[in-house]
Amino acid sequence: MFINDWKVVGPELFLGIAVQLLVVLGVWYGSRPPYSVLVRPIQALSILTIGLTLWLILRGDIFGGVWNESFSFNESTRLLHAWILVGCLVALALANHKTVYENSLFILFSSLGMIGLAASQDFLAFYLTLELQSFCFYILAASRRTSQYSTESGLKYFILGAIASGFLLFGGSLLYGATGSLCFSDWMLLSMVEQPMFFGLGMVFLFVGLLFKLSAFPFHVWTPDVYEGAPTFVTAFFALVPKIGVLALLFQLLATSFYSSIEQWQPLLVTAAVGSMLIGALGALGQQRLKRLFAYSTIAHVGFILLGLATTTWDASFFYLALYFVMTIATFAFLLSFGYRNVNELAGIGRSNPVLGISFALLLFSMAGVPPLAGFFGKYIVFQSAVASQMYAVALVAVVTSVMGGVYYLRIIKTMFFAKTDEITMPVTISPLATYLFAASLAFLIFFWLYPMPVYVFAETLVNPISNWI
Amino acid sequence: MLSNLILLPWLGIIVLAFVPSRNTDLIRKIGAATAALCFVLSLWLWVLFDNQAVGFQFVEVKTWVFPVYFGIDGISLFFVLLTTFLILLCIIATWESIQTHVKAYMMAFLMMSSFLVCVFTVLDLLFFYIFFESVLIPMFLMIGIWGSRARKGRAAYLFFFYTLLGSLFMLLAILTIAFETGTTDYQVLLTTTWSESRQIFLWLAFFASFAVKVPMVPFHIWLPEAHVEAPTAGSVMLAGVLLKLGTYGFIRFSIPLFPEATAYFTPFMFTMSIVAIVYTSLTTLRQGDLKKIIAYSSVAHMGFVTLGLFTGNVVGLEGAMMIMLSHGWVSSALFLCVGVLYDRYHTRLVKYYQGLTQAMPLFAIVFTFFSMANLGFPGTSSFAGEFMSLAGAFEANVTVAILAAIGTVLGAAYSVWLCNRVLFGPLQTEVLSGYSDLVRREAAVFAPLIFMTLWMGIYPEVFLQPIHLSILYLCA
Repeated sequence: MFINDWKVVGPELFLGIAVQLLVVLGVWYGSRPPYSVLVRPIQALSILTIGLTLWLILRGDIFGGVWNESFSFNESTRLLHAWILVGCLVALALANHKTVYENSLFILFSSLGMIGLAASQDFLAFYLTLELQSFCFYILAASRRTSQYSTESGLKYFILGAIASGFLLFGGSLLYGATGSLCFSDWMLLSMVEQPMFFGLGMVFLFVGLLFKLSAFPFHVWTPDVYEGAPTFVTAFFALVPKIGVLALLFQLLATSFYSSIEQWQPLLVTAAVGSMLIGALGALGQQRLKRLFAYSTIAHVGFILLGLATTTWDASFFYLALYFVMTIATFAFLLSFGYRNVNELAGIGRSNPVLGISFALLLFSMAGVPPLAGFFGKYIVFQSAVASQMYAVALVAVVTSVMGGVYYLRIIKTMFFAKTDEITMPVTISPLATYLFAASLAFLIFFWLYPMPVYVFAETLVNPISNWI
Repeated sequence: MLSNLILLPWLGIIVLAFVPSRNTDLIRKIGAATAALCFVLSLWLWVLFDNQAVGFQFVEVKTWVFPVYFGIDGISLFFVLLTTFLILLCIIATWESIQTHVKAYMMAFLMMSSFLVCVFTVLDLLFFYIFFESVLIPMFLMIGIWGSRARKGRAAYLFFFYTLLGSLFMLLAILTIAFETGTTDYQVLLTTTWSESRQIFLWLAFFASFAVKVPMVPFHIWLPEAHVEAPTAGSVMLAGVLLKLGTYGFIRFSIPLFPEATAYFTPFMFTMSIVAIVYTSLTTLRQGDLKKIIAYSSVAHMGFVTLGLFTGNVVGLEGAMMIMLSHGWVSSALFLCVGVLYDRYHTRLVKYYQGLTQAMPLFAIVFTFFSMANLGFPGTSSFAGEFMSLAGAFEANVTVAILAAIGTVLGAAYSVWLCNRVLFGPLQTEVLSGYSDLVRREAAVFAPLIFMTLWMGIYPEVFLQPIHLSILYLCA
């Protein structure tokens, strides 16, 4: 029985072993400048590792639960893993070449954590994998050691993250106390007929931890600071990847373990969703720093994703997240290749780099949800789920906040095109890799509406194993 | 046929993408050629249109997630024609005045052409919304990039957010419809009936969107701003076609889908229309900017349109259709006239212009003609439209007709006074110098507009024939 487990987790094991070999390589040859010739191409080595893992995962067709059903692998986790790895690949590709050895390794380690998170079936497995990814994140946020902002953001992230983990652990222990089990499916079975004592309380504590990781209201406060302080490629990584694993887990908990307590968690999640939308829309109105602005925009998008979960249209959430993923790739490919920090610095791009300017404007229109660009369809499907659940007031708030969100996206466009600058801006050249990423994601956003089926099918497949089971 | 009309501009855009942006002359020629082809195609649509057929013609199905139908009837036929016609004219009219980002300008125009044809032909609520909104993108960029003054950012903002906020309510209504009926197909929805309270709710949500676009009076603030800041061609498209999106929405969706709510809100719409007509006509008298004068007079004319739309009888509805078309020629021509002046003197303030008859006789003739058309002079297209609209209103409610008729008097007041100020009196040589009359290209732009205005004024039956059956069907 045990021998078969290795076949199921083959790709994940490969990733784990490869990362540790890379650690050994670093230790052996030294990871301080001057770099040895074997250590220098760490970025390429990491990309190769993730690429190979991705290939193995996409080829793999052996599914099942492993290690006493702590982790379970099926068609949907396979897609989730591939998605997470693609995110890591993009983040690695966007990282500039001067990054130190450890950063790539931390991205690899956290990808291992996230993969485990998406497949976990048991509180202990979930908590350990979540901590594996979180610790890598804290260090990554502080990775620019000489910068005050980076250190500050790492410390803030760590302290607040540790508190959130504490809540998570407390929730887990309450749930264990209530049910006598750590397994998600046991929680469901034991709360189906009658809710045990302290079950609801444990559930709320668990949500605190998870909403913190998703940077949702009211646990969003760390997001702007961490996004602003961390090196930009780390910000890109934070914006792109962690949400996938956490969302997958939250979906699993809501759709199975806590499904019979829907009356209790639905108002909580709706509040969190509406609050995130409002904070996201209002927070960025006067924001001059680009990364902070996109941090608030992330919070607003998370609000929409949570609304999809709260209305139990799980596929809407994943659909929205997929579109958000592509928009984030494009955003950070743009931001990273310029190194701009303030909105004002973008003035004149419309004249010096017209094609780039118009492309970025289209991306912002997509974020604001203007049809026929892809962002609209994400919003549309979430509005639809709110209307279908008869939450007209919530749908109205979502509509109004999405208009308010439009204000700051349009402010960037206004700065790029309409502002008159005295100095003559020179054309900016950006790296070929960033160009390809930007162009590919933009093409996706523009032409998405002609053939949206694949993304619908993708989101459907992700939620299928559990929705069918219910 | 329709899909060719929709895809052709995109072909032009793709070709343009490969032309180096330094080669502006070739870019302009490609843009104009594409627009001309589109216009010829849409003329062909008119030729093949069957006046005796009930329902939609040239119907095409595209399979999206669900099948999406495209088709035209008498109501949408002329909007398609108006769009392609004005796009072509705009490209020719701004041949020389646009010198920056010519390629992007042409692309924006062709994109707008495709989206507008989509709006007028699509028979699906969701896709109507999508195209209705997507017109915002090229228009927003057009006002922002090629607009004239420092306030253009504010104008673009106002334009964008008024429309977005209004139409998101429509989106919620569409979602409710989709949720309750399971479809957004217009032809299917025509066969469904709603309870009156539900109709009122949905009607109001649609109203929020269309009233902003028309614009009706409390929601009209964005229009003068957008017009003043937009480039000439942007103003022409805004007045000529984009305003009609709102009234088209009323006649296509609000009236046939929610008949009881329409009856319920008819007094409300009459009041709003009269307020729009009288209030904006009086406002027009106080304006000092040429474009603002025409913008406010547009709001007044759209008041006549909404008046006609809600009379509920064939004469009134056809009158509303006529005003929409006529306003498409007349106000576009007036904006082009302002563009002619602006290209030469770079100001739009009325006080700098005086006695232009002596220096620019041809221009004076054109300007007088269109001012007369604007006030609804018999023999011009506006007269046909306003007369029918008022006749319809008279049939529905005498008081309303009398109050609305005040608007025609005030219209005469501001049009004649504008003509008087700009064209007559002594020349202000100390302010403006170096006069030149219309050049051949500009005359060529005005000629078809004059022709259309006169044709529709003298023999409107040609335009009414395709409309008759669709309107009858609507009123029955």
